[in-house]
Amino acid sequence: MSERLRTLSALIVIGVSLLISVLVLATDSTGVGDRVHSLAERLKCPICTSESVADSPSQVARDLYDLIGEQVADGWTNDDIFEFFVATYGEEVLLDPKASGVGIVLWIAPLAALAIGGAVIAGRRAGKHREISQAERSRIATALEEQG
Amino acid sequence: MSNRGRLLVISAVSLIAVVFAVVFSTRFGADPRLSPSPLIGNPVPDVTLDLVESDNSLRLRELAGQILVVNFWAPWCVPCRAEHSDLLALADGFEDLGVSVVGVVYQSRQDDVVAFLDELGRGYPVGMDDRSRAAIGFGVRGVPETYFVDRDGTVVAKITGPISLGLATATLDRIILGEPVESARTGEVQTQP
Repeated sequence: MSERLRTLSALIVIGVSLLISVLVLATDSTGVGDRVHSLAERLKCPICTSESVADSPSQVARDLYDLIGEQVADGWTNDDIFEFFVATYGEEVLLDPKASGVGIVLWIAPLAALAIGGAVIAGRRAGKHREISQAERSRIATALEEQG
Repeated sequence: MSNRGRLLVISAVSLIAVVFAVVFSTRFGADPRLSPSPLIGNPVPDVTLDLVESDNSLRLRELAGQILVVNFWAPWCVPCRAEHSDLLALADGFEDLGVSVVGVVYQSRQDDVVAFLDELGRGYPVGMDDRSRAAIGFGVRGVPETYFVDRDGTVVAKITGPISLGLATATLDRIILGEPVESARTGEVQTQP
C-alpha cells in the first residue's frame, strides 16, 4: 500500500469516527433513568474523596441520587441541576471541570499537547523528505571521490 | 529535528505535564470536608424538619427575625457528644436575646437520637432530616457542623467540628452587634458511623 493511500485511509477512519461521535451526541435519546445516572456520574459524592454520586454506596449519595431523579422528573435542565449542586457544595462537586478559571487548563492542555505532537511529526516528515542543497551535493560528491 | 527544537518540545511537554499535575492535585484527592461553605452570605435553605418526640414540624424560614444556630449532629458522632453541653448552655444563655438553637439529626435512627438525649440532656428543638434534604440544602459534609443565621435570614458563618461555648458566644455577640463574623474549623467531622 502506498504512503498516500495509507494517509487517505487514516483520514477516512478518523473522519468516520468523528461523524459517528457527533451523531451520537446530537441524537441523545437516553431515557430518564439513564439521564439521572449520567448526571450522578458527573457529580462528586460530597462526603467521599473521589467517588461520584453514582458510584458511592453511602446513604448521602443515595439520597442525592434520588434528589437528582426528582429534579429531572420536575423538568430541571442539566444546567439547573449542576447550578444547584455548585451553589450548595461548591465547584469541586463537578467531576468535569468548568471551561473557565483554572479548569480551562484541563480543556486546553490536551489540545496543546496534540498541537505539539502534530508539529513534531510534521517537522520530522519535512526533515525526512528535505531536498539536499547544491552545497551538500558538492560535499557528498567530493567525499565519494576521495573514497573512490 | 535540531537539538534546540527537541529541547523546546521537551520543555513544552514538561510544562504541560506540570500544569496538569498541579491542576489535578488541587481538584482531586483533597479532603472535601475542608471546603468552605458557598452558603455563606446566602439565604438560609428552605428546609422543614420533623421534630423528635413531637408531632410538629419546624420550617427554618418561619423563624425569620431570630438569630439561628443550626447544629447538624448524630448520636454516633464522637465530637457531637463533646459539644452537646455547650449547645445546651448556649440555648439557655441566649434565649432571651432572640437566639434559637436548632439541632438537625444527620443519618440516624430516631431511637438512637432519643437515647442520646436521655443520656446527655434536652434544651432546644431537634428535628429528623428526612432523606437528608436539610443536610443537602446546607451542603453538610460531616458532623458536627454548625451554621449561624442572622436576623435577616442570611447564613453568616459556619463552624466545622465541635463548637466551644467561648467561640459560639463570641460569634453570637458579633452577630447581635451587627459586626462581621468568620467561619472556623475547630476539629474533625465524622461522615458516617
